Amino acid sequence: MARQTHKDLIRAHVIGDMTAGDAISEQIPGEEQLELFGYTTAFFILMLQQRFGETASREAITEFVEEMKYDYRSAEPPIRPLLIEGAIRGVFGEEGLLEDIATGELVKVYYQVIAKIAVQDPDVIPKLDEYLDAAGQLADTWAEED
Amino acid sequence: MVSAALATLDEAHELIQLARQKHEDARAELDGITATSVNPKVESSSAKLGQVVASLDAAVVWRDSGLEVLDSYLDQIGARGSAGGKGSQGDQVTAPKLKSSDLEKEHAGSDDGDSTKSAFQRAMRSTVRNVGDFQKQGQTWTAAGRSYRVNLDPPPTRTHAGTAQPVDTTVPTQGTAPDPSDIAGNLLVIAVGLTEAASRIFKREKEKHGKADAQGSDPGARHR
Repeated sequence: MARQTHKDLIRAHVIGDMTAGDAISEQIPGEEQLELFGYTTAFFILMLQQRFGETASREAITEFVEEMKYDYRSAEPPIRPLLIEGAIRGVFGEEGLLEDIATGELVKVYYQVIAKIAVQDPDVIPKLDEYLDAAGQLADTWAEED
Repeated sequence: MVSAALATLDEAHELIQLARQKHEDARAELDGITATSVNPKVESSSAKLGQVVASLDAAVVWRDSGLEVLDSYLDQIGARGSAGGKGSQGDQVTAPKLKSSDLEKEHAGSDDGDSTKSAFQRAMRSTVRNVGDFQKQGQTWTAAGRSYRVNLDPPPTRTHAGTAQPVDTTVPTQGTAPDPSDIAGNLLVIAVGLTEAASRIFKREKEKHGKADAQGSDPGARHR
């Protein structure tokens, strides 16, 4: 079952509670990294589905990345638009693009995309618990098979 | 792809070195002849050798330019090892194929049954493959997410219309149509499609993860 701390970390990230994020982050031990990666991946997928649906055109992805460039214009270090585009296109069928993105960079993309979509989509934050649970169920289906 | 480019650049470097050596040999020989001859063909040959030098210098510039492009590309895609030229560790990285033509080539004729899986399924397989090297990254939430969340500054009003589409209700889920109010259930309509392939991937990654732990990987690396 998805750990509550993982849900709480994503919740803190989405709502922008940095204090909670820092505290929760410190509670999560290194041995949970695979689980946390799986959970974050699941939430990332759900956010992409929320924004794009089940398919996404190249134009829609490009538009999204352009929005990201504006939304994170003050970020330091800057976001990497090509990485973001590659990750999203990878999810929507061009999976070869994902294979060579360093995992650490992919995680950054996860957090960037999750926050943008969650903050800007009027449906997500009001029903955040349900999205967090759904991501947990999705991640659980992967984690439970041994 | 990057490895191949680096190999080509290294080969170019070696060829340039070889050409320089041959040029120096030819120049020495020609200088010896020039000292004792007034043959206009000797003068012409000497001038052509000068052009060879210019061409070699240009080749060096192009070779260095190629390395700079590779460096920049690796920085951009975040898959950087080192493109530092001859003797580099370029074999550690392979660039993603961001051009559709490359992708088409890559996937042409490689349909081994994946076409029956959803795009999400295939994506997940690729995504979780990266878990294996995750613990090498030392990413914490503080490093990977915090600063970006702080700097997220979208327009006050959403000026762009999302392209979200209704959840695909054609995927059967225990014979019931999704309830529009059941967000988690609806989200898992797609999750059902993901489960089969993704679970195999996670199982494999868990095994790899376990092996990595057994080999004493850095326990502090995580993305809390």
